[in-house]
Amino acid sequence: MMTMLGGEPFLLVSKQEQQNYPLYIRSVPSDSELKFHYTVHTSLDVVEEKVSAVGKVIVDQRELYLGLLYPTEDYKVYGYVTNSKVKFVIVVDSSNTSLRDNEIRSMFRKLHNSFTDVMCNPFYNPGDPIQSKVFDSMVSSMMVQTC
Amino acid sequence: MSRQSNRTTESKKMNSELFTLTYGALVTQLCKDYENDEEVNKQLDKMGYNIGVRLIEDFLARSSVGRCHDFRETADVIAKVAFKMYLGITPSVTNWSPAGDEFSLILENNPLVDFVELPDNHSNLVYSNILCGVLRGALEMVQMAVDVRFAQDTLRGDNVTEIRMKFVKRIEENLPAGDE
Amino acid sequence: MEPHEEKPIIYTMENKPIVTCAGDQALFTSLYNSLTQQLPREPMEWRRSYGRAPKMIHLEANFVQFKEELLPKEGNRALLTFPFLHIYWTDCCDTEVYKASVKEDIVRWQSLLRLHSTTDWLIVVVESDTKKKNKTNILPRTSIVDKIRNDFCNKQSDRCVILSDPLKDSSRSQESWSSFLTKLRTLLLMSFTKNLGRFEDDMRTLREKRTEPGWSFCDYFMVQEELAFVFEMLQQFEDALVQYDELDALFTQYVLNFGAGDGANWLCSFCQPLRSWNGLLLRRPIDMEKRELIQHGQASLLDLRSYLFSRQCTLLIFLLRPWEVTQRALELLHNCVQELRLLEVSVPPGALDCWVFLSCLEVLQRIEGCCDRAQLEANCSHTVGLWTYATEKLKSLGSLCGLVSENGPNSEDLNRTVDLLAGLGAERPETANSLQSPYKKLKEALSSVEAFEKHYLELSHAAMEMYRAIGRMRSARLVGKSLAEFYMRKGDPQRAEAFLQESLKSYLAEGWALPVAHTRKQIAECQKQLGQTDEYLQTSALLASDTHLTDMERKHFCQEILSFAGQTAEGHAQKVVLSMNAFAQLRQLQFRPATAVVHVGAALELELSLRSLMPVPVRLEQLAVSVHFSLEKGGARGRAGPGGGAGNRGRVGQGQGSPCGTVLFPGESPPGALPRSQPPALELYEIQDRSPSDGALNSAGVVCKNVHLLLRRQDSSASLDTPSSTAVAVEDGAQLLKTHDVSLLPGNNNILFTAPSREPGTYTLRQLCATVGRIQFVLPHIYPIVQYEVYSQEPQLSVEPLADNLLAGLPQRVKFIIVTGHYSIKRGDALQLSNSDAMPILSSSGCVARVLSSDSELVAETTLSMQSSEKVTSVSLPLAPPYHSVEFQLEVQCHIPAGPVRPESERLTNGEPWHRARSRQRTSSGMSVVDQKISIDCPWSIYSTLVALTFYIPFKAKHLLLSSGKRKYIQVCLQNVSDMNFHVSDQQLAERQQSSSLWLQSLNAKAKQLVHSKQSVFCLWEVKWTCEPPASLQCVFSINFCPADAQRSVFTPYYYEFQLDNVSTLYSLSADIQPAPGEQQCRTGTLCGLEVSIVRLAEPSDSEQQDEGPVETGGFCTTKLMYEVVDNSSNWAVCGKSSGIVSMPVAANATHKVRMEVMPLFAGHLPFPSIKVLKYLPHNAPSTIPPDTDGCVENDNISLLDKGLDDQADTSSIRSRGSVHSLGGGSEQQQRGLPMPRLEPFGPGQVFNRSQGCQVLVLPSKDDHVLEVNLT
Repeated sequence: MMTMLGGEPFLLVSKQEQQNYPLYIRSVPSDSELKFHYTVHTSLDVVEEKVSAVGKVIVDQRELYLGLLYPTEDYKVYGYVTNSKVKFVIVVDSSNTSLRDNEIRSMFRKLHNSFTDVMCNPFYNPGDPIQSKVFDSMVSSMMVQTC
Repeated sequence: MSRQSNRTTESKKMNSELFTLTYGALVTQLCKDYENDEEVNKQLDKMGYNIGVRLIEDFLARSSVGRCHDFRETADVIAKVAFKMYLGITPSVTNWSPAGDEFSLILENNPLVDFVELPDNHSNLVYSNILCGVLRGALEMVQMAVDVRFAQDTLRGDNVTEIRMKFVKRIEENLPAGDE
Repeated sequence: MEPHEEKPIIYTMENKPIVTCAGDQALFTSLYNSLTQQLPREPMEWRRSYGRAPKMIHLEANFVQFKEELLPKEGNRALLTFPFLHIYWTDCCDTEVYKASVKEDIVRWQSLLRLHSTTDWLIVVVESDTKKKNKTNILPRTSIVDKIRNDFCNKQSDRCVILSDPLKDSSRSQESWSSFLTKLRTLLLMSFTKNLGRFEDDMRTLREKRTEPGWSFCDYFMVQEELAFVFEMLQQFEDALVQYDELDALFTQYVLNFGAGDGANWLCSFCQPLRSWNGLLLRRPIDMEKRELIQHGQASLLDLRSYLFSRQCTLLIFLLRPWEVTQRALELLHNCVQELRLLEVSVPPGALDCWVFLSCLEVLQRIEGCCDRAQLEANCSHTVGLWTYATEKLKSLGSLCGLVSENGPNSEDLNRTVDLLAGLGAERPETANSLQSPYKKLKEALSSVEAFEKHYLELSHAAMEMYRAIGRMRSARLVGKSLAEFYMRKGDPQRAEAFLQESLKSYLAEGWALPVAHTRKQIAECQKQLGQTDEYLQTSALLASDTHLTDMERKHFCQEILSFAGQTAEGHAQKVVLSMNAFAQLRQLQFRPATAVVHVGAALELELSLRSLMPVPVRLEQLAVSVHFSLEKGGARGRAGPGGGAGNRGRVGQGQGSPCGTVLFPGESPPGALPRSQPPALELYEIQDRSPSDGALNSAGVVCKNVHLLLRRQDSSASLDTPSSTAVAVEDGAQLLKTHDVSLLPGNNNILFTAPSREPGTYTLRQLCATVGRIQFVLPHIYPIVQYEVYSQEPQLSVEPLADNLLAGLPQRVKFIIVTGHYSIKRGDALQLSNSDAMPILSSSGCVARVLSSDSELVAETTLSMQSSEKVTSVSLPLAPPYHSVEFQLEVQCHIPAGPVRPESERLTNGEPWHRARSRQRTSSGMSVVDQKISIDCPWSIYSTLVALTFYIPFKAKHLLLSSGKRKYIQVCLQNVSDMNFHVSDQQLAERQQSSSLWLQSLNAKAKQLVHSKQSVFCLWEVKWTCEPPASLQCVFSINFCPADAQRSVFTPYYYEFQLDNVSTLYSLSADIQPAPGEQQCRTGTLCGLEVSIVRLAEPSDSEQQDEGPVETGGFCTTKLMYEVVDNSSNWAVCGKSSGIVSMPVAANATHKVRMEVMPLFAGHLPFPSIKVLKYLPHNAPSTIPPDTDGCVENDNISLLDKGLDDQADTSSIRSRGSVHSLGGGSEQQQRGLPMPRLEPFGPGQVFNRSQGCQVLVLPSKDDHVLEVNLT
């Protein structure tokens, strides 16, 4: 079983105050869905930590992948943040060992790409929850293939 | 037949995303301004027409194609030259009516609709309707009254985009060509 | 390096590579100290196999006496005990001794070594002068060394070294030492490389075998660990760590594979059910017990992991990387939990929790052991994970052992606890005397409810603090939440709520729906227990509307509300006020009529669509909108100017882009769902305060329209803010829109209100308030601002023509429109129309009045009755309610005034003079207009309304007097200037004073004629008289006309009056042109004779006498005439005097001839030069200037000329007038001085020119051969 939550942005609604509305949340339906939400929300802490760290230390800005945010007993939480401060978080069941770092990385890239497409959809206004079918199907395919 | 034109036949490069987004912005703005889709379709067609009546000159200048002898030739020029020149795609010409006065352009990929997903409340919107207008306007300038419409659209879940063109009549000369 | 109380003894640090010493023990012991000291002093580079990076290492060695047992047996791979180098010491310096004993000894030693195939040996020959001293027979010492070399070191002479005077402190001894040491080090390293290399090779081959059935991980573990030990021994901790990590990875891989299906049988030993779960132990460098277990393949998974980690931990700490320890620890713990699951090891419930808990604390304490506070605080980001993990585990343990329930643990809980504690076994000696040991903590925590609470709180607060410290607020809140859950279990909602609210805030702020829903449920629980009714209801409203809950839950919460609402209010009558937006949303609001502007008392409906968020239908006793009324100045002005209020409403309208009277409300996000991503934008508008006297600007300002949205705290966007009672209390005097007994179905509901419109003004909708039993749901602000207007209007009457041009003379339709305004037309109300008799109102029967409602739909149709006296027409109006309009049409006809319109004279019947600017007499269409005015008395006002109507006269007439000789003709030209076509018939010309002697003989067609628009018809009459021609004629031309397209042709007369003076011809004028004498024809350039003869035709009447001013000269009187020959076409050159004065005798047929010379300038048929005759009045003659025209002299002859000529001003007459004028002008100059004779023209037809238009043929002169043809 694999659980992912994509599209977890800093919407720079106004420059001074960043907000964390989830643009898109998707998870393999299960009773512990609520727990995922809590986990991901908490993981924002670490994302912010890492992002601000990026700010301080001069690292390659093009590296958007934040790697494993933190492990919990049941999940591994990975993070990815675009330069526009849109955050992606993928949560993987920790028993799932098939996913190496590289797979996760590429998954994020895929997410990022199709997110960009969504943004380019003239009918989508930035900040709204994502309802794009294309995005949906992309995500589901990703979830299936990694199950 | 091919007259000399000072226009360069090769077109300048332009970023396709910008192009697509620009068109997208146009359409969505129209959707905001006019409540119902039908009206938007009309507007798009109108705009397209106004583009067409101008573009034809440029087209003829660039591609020194001469008069077409029949509708089939026209169809080929549109598909192979015009679409290639302005949209960088070459739709296929099919579904000729037995009378030979009606055919379809099949666009397997339509640059206007990259990224676009129609929201459910715009089911009647013919997103790329501007193309119809352009074709209509351009052909009118060469004395061909045609009826252009979208028969299929990938945006509406069809698996191809099909523009249906029907030859209506040959227009006599000296008819005033003004903006609609 | 360890500031910790029980300093762990690290055995391996004592371990040093073993070097055996054979030979002279005494000698060795004497050197031992300096040797051990000096060996590590200098680092040595260690080049290593397999391309591993070379390292500088400080070598130490453990020198032991050589024993055969030390040499490893076959197959014994123990590295720690392996002697890496064997040294033979001797200081023998004479050959005898050597031969006698030493040699054999070395041989024996060597053979032993060879037996165990060790090649790492060294022979040291120590020299000292002391010995030399007391020796007498001295061989060169070299010889001994040489012998040894010969005997043993065949071709590896470096195996034998000399150490000279080691105990002396001389430069020489120094050198020999250092060279010796270097040698020693090199050999040691060589030996390491060789032996370790061999070892590693063996190890690898062993690892390759791991797929073979017999292979055991534990054995392999032991082997590789041996290597690790050695590296550790050499203080190569990195390398050592690598060994363990490899083992770790290998094992993990096996477990995963097992999970994947292929289990190695050796793994089964690890799958045995868990028996002991005493946590990690990090205080010993090597946990020998566990090592034993592993060695004998009896270790459980936890044992192995614990041991492995403890080793890694030790090494990491050597490497001063404590934070890696914590991080790895966390991973390890998670990993172990996973692995146990994977291997399906049966674990008693809670056992794992114990293990994790203990381990966490152990790690933390270990780390605390090796860093100071500052470091710890700087790095709690690394430790906090462990803290929370421990907390979680303790919590679950607590709940497992029934320690968090309100009523303590029950027996089975206790049993479970006992079992768990049993699994911990006895406390380890290391921690036995530390009070804070994890073991003790756990035991204590599980011992009692209070103890547990103490520890749990301690931990979670610690965790929260740390999270806060490093700014991980969300994590902190999450801990807080679980703490809250704990409190709830403990039945302490007071404490719990604070935590819950806090985390709820953050979830709301960041729009996390599920957490919000979940947390709300918990909060609701709290509030219920705390008995915070209002809050509880509010929350349950929010929950009931939360789509993220199951239907069951939503219904439940909705029911909670309803049941409360159902209770009869005992005691406090005060209704409970809740915020509406959890309960229902105002979606849109529609006015009927859409303009939202109505007159007083009119029906204004407004329909608001309310989206109920409740899962079940809810019955509202009352739904009310409180309305704020402001008497807004524009109110009375009516629709004309809806004033500022309308301005605002308009603005809102634009905002919602709905002109059709609907106001849409921005989708206030349903609570719990994602909040709107954009905060509401500022809506500013400017206010200007102008001083009433002059429009000067006193002050200007900016007002924010939506403060209540902007100033609302972000987190309360799905508001828990119950509107303050003031906001709810309906303002005094504010009206209410109410409906009763509405039942709100889930989803959209449309509710209809009728808005009050009693007095004029602006009504602003303020609040929406739904009442359900004891509960009131209030929407404190209706935004965007919704207003409607009520106005009152004065009754108005307006009259407008139906055609764009009313034509005079024809019956024309005029439309009367009465807008009743607030006046209602009662029975007997009538309009009194008093009109000029020039414009009668044709009381056409069956004239229909239509009564229209304010939105112009037909209400009634009645035929009006009209009584009309000659001056006044009264139209009795139909009954009409206020704010309706009455329309009817009347036919009026404007009589065409006879003669040229002189409207100054006109007066209305009610005596009002009526003046009009002359300029308006002629319109652009060339039609002359007649303005008619009706004054109307309306029942609603004492003043009478004046209505002006402009009529256009369709015709223009001109007259002309024609004469031939004495005969006279009158021509009248009638021009149709209108756009209609007319039939005209029986045109007549009448003379005023019907003198029998004179009659007019018509020369016109009898039949009626068609006159098209802009065309003319000409009529002609001959004037005949018997006795004598009249001095002047008063003529009236009349003609009947009717529209050509009229079905029944009713002819109306058109009159035209005019006067003709001096009709009769006095003089007849004739001219003749004779060619030059002797010529047949006139020729150009030759003089011809022009003879003008003037003949008086009649005795002048005495009036004419007067005119011409006759003079007595001799017997009979004459009148003086002036003639003038002018040729405007310059065909002629008049030679000599062209004008002169003749005096005519006053007698009929008196003739006067004048001759003069003229010269034709062109050839061809030339018209005669024109000849004029004027009266010549002597100075004494009385001026004929009428006295009324106040003798402005230069005008008068023009005015005279004008008389009658007015309309027939043809060019020639104008020309003549011009010339006359100039002459006359001239004459005045003199007249100013002494009296001078004057010139006056004759009236039209007084002088008849016979030779008018005669022509004479002129031939070109002989000498020039060019024939000039004149085309004039």
